[in-house]
Amino acid sequence: MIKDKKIYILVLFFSTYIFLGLFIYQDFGIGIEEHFQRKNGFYWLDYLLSFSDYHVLKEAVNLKYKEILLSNPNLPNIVFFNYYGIIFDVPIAFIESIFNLENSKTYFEIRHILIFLIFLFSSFFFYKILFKRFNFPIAFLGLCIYSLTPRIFGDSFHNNKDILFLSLLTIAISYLFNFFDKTNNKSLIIFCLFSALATSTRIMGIYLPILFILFIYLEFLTNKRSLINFFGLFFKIIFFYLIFLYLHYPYIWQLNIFEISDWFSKFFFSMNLNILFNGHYYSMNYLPRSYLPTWIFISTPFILLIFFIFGAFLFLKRFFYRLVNISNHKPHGSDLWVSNNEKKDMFILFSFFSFLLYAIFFNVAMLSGWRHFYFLHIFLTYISVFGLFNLIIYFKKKISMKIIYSLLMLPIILLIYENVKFHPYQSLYFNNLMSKEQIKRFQVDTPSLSRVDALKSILIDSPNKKKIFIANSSWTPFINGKDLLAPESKKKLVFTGQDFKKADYIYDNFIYKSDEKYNKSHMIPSDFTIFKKLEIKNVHIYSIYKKNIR
Amino acid sequence: MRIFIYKILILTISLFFLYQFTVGYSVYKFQQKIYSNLNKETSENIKSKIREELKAGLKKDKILNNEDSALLRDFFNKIKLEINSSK
Repeated sequence: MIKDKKIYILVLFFSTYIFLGLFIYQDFGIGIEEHFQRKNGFYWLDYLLSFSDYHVLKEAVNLKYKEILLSNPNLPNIVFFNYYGIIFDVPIAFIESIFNLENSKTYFEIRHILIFLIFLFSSFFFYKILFKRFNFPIAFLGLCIYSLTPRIFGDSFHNNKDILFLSLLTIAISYLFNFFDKTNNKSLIIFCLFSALATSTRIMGIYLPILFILFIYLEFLTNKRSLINFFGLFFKIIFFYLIFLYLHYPYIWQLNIFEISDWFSKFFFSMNLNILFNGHYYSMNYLPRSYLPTWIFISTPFILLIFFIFGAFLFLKRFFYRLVNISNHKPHGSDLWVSNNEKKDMFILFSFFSFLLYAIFFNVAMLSGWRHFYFLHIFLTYISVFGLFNLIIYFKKKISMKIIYSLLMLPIILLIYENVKFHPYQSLYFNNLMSKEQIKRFQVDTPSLSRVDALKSILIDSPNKKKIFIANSSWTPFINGKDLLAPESKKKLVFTGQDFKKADYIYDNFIYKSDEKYNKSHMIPSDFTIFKKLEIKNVHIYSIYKKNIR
Repeated sequence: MRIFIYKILILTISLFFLYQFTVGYSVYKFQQKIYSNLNKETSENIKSKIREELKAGLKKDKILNNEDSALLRDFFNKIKLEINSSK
C-alpha cells in the first residue's frame, strides 16, 4: 500500500512535470550557443555519412551545412572547434534532414523539447540515487530541488551542452552507486558508457573513471580488494570507457595517437574576452578566485544554500575525522569510509571539492556566469539533501514527523514560486540576498535569451511596417534571435548591427565587450527614448529604445 | 606502505595550498592586473585619450610656463648638437 502511494506520488510528479514542460517550452528564448551546436551536428553528420552510400541524405545534409555557413558566417570555425560531442547534435541534425524541416522555429523547438526530456530522464536517476541512500520523503524532496532549482530548470529548455552534461553525469553516477551497492558487470559497463558520453560532451567527464579507479585503489590499500581484483577492475574500466569513447566520438578518430598532448590542447583554448564580475571587468583567463563560489552563492536559492552549508560541514567533519583516525590497524571498509553509503557520500564530496578547487586555483577560463559548472548541481543538491536529512534526524526527537514533513514543503513551494516569478527567464535567476544595485555589478543575460522576446515586442509595436530596422547596442549575436519567430515575421526584420542612425529600435541586454566607462559604442543616441524595459524582481534583463517621431 | 602513501598525499596537498595562499596568490594577482588592464581595448583607449589631450593643448594660448620652455629648448638644442656632431 505504502509502495503504491510512493509510485502514485512519483507518477503524479513526473506527469505534471512533463505536461508543464510541454506547455511552456515555447516561452523560452534561444540560447547563445544553439546555432553553433546545430552547425556542429551537421558537420559531423556530413562526416559520418561520407562513410555510407545514402546519396540523397548525404546531399540534403551537405546542402544544410552549406546553408548554415552562408546564413551564419560569424559562427566559430567548426574545423577548429570540432571537439564537441555528437551525442545530441547529430541525432537532431538527422531528424532535421530526414523530415526536411525548413522552419527554424520548428527545429530549434525540437532541440528544446529533447533537452528538457533528457533532463527529466536524468532527474529520475537522481531520485534513485537518493532513494537508495536516504528515504522516500528525502529522495522526493531532493528530486524537487534537482529539477526545480531556477537556473537549472530554465536552462533545461535551451542549454543543450551543460544540461546534457549534467544529465549524463547524473546517470553515470547512478550506475556507479549501483556498482558500489552490488558489484556487477552490467552496472560497470553502463557506467563506462555514460562516462564516455559525458566526456565527449564536456571533457571534465574524464574525471569519472579516474575517481572511480582512485576509490578502488583506496580499497585495495586496506586489503579490502586483492591485487588481482584491483587490476581486473582497473583494466575493465579503462577498456570499456575507451571503447565507448572511441565508438561514438569521431573527433578522436582523426587524432594521431602518438600526439596525446594535442588531444587535450584544444579543450583548454579560450578567447581573451573581458567579463564584468562584481563591478569590474576582468580578463576571462584571469578571473578573481572568488568567481565560481560567488556565482553559486548569488544564483542559488538561499534556503538551499543553508542546507548545503550544513551538509558540507558534516561531510568535511566526517572526512577529517576518518583522516586523523587512520592507523596501522586496518578497518572493515576503507580508511575513509565504513559503509557503502559513506562511500557514496565521499565520492560526492571528492567530486564537488575537486572541481571547486580546480576552478579556484587553476585559472579556469569562465564566462556566462557559472553555466560551465552547472554539473556541480548534482553534488550541490546531494550535499544539501544530506544536510537536510541530518537536520531532520536532529529535530525528530523534538518535533513530530508530520510537522517536519509539512515544513519540508516550504522549500518546494519557494522553488515553484521563484520559477513562476522568473518565467521564462529562470536561467537569469538571482537569489533574494542580492539587491538591485548589486545585481547591476554582474552580467545578467549572458545566454542572450531575451532576444526573441524583444523581437516579438518590436513586431507587435509595428504591425503595419513592411520593414523594421533594429540595432543592437550589446555584444551579443542579436540577429540569431529571429530564428524562433515565424517565417513571415522574420522577413520584416532588418538588422543594422551598431549602426544606430538607420535603426527604428535599439535593443540592449547590457552585455558589453569591455568596460562601459571607456567604450562608448553602445551609448544610446539622444533621439531614442525607452520603449520597453523588462525587469523581474531586482533583475534588469533588457531594454528596447524607439526612435522619436518628429 | 599504506600510511606512507597517505602521508605523501597529505604533504603534497598541504604544500600546494601553502604555495597557492602565499606566492601563488601574489603572482596570480599580478597576472590578473596585467592581463585585465593591458589589453588591446585599453591601449586604444589610452591612445585616444592622449590624442584628445593633445588636441585640447593645441587650443590653449600657452602650453608651457617660461621655465619649462627654456628647459626644453636647451634640452632639444643639446640633442640636436649631439646628433649633428655624430659621425
